[in-house]
Amino acid sequence: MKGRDHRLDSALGIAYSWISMLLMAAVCLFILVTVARYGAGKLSLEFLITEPGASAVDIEGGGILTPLIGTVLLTMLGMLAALPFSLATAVYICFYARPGALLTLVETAVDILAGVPTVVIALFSLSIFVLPQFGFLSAMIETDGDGGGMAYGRSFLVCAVTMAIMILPFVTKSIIESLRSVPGSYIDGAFALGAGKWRVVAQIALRCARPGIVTGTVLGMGRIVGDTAIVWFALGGTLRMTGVQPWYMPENWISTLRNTGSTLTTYIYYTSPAGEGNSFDTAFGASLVLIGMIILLNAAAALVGRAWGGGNGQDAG
Amino acid sequence: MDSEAGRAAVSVRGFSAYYGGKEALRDVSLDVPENCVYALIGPSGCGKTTLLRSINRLNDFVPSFSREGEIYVGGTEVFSLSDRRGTERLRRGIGMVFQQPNPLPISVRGNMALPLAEHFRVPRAEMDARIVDRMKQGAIYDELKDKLRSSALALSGGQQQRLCIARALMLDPPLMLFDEPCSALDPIATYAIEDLLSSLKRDRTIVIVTHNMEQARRVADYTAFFYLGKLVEHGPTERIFSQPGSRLLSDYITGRV
Ligand SMILES: Nc1ncnc2c1ncn2[C@@H]1O[C@H](COP(=O)(O)OP(=O)(O)O)[C@@H](O)[C@H]1O
Ligand SMILES: [Mg+2]
Repeated sequence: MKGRDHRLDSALGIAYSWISMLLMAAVCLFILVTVARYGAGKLSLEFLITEPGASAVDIEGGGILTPLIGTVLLTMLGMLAALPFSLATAVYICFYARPGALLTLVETAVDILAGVPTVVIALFSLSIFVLPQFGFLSAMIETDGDGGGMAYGRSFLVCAVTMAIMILPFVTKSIIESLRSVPGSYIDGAFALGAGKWRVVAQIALRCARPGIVTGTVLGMGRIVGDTAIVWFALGGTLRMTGVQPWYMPENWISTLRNTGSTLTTYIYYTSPAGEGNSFDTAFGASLVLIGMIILLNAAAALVGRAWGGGNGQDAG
Repeated sequence: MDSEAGRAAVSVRGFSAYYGGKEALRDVSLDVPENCVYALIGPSGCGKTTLLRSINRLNDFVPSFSREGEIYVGGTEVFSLSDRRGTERLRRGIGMVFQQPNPLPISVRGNMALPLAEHFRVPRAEMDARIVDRMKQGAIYDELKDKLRSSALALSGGQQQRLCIARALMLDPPLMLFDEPCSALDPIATYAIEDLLSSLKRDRTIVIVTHNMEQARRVADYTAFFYLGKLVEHGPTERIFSQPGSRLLSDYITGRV
């Protein structure tokens, strides 16, 4: 009697798992198929290398060059700004900080910040980067009357810094976790050989934690690629680059970075029926590129992880 | 006493150790003569590892650790070394081999080069010659001479452990500490290490923690028996096993503790 009940339970459980799995696979496939069906017609080299129309109304003619560049730019700049801080913080927390109130405070702050919705971080950035002291990141605007100035507060630089703030706790936490999972026997062994603390940290711990650090970095980059709220608040609402033209000439790069633009996520919004473009095809075309970027990012991470991984570590000796 | 301490490779004097409020060793005194194998035996949790890790100050990294008493290595009281450089130099003169083989996830050669890369700029040819020589001393060269560039993690457990021993030999330590080096290995790998120990003691001193009384009998010249943080008995291995001087030890030897 009892035995039969157990068998029934487990049969039900297995059926339930099966159905859930199928359902999930179906939903994922349905989304991908929809994106591909609408978007595939749009895909062409020209779509990738043409600038969008000046406004979303005449969007049909243009491509996604500047939003694509915008996404890549923000991802690189944001990660470049965040990674050194995250690494340093994680190393300090894992190897140097004494257990105590300060450490608890820092770890709690990191945990909370990791859970704050990005729109709140975007709002914070807007309030900070309009201060005239930060004018160098965007542009100064003259306010008439009182003679004081305000910063415009929206630009690629502002947005990259905000992205960095957004992923900082997340990347820091994942580095802390990978550092803590380095076997204690490696650390002990290195100390027993008379290695100094800094060398143990830099050459043993960070080296063994490398696969985890790469994974954390890539997940952080994925967050930047996918974020929309921060782009809205901190980059601005123009489809094209608004600095000195042509924006791609090296002498104009600084100007481009201090001015506004778009990313694939905001481009998708503008071109969709929710924005002004009213073009599903264009929005899905850009979505397809966005998904492709994320797949590439993850593939690159897997490759790097395997090449650097703990498993087959070879070195030049 | 003092003249004896002068000839001892390690001399422990009135040593007690604590983790927080918890006592791990109480008032231990013993002398390890030079060029011998000295075994520490006793049931799990009796403080053998604590004593071993105190000798090279590895317990410094346990925040709750504190101690009383002294430990002399080669005439220097180890706890009198107050700066980082001093303790690092001490550790370089003491090879340590752990229960779990701990080669780093880099190549065999990278592991061997590690101890020297830290403090000395060694020309490549010299480094290679030294690596070959120490791998021979560690009885691992013949097996691994074609695998210098492959990952140390691809080796068997016994090979990894002998690689770790050879790695420790790179610094020519006059004293080596082994913490249950064979407990993760099969019998054949264990015999290989035991053979190695008797060749190594010719020009250095070895302190080995072991769970395995047969092993202590086979390899050790002297044996010290610990129980609940106290040194119960110590002396020549022969005597310890043939005429245990206490009920506790004879019970332990016959497997009743
Ligand atoms: N890092 C530590 N923190 C707290 N207690 C410890 C620590 N290491 C060992 N101990 C305690 O000290 C006692 C002696 O441990 P140990 O020296 O590892 O014994 P053995 O090596 O003989 O098994 C045990 O009761 C153990 O629980
Ligand atoms: Mg132990």
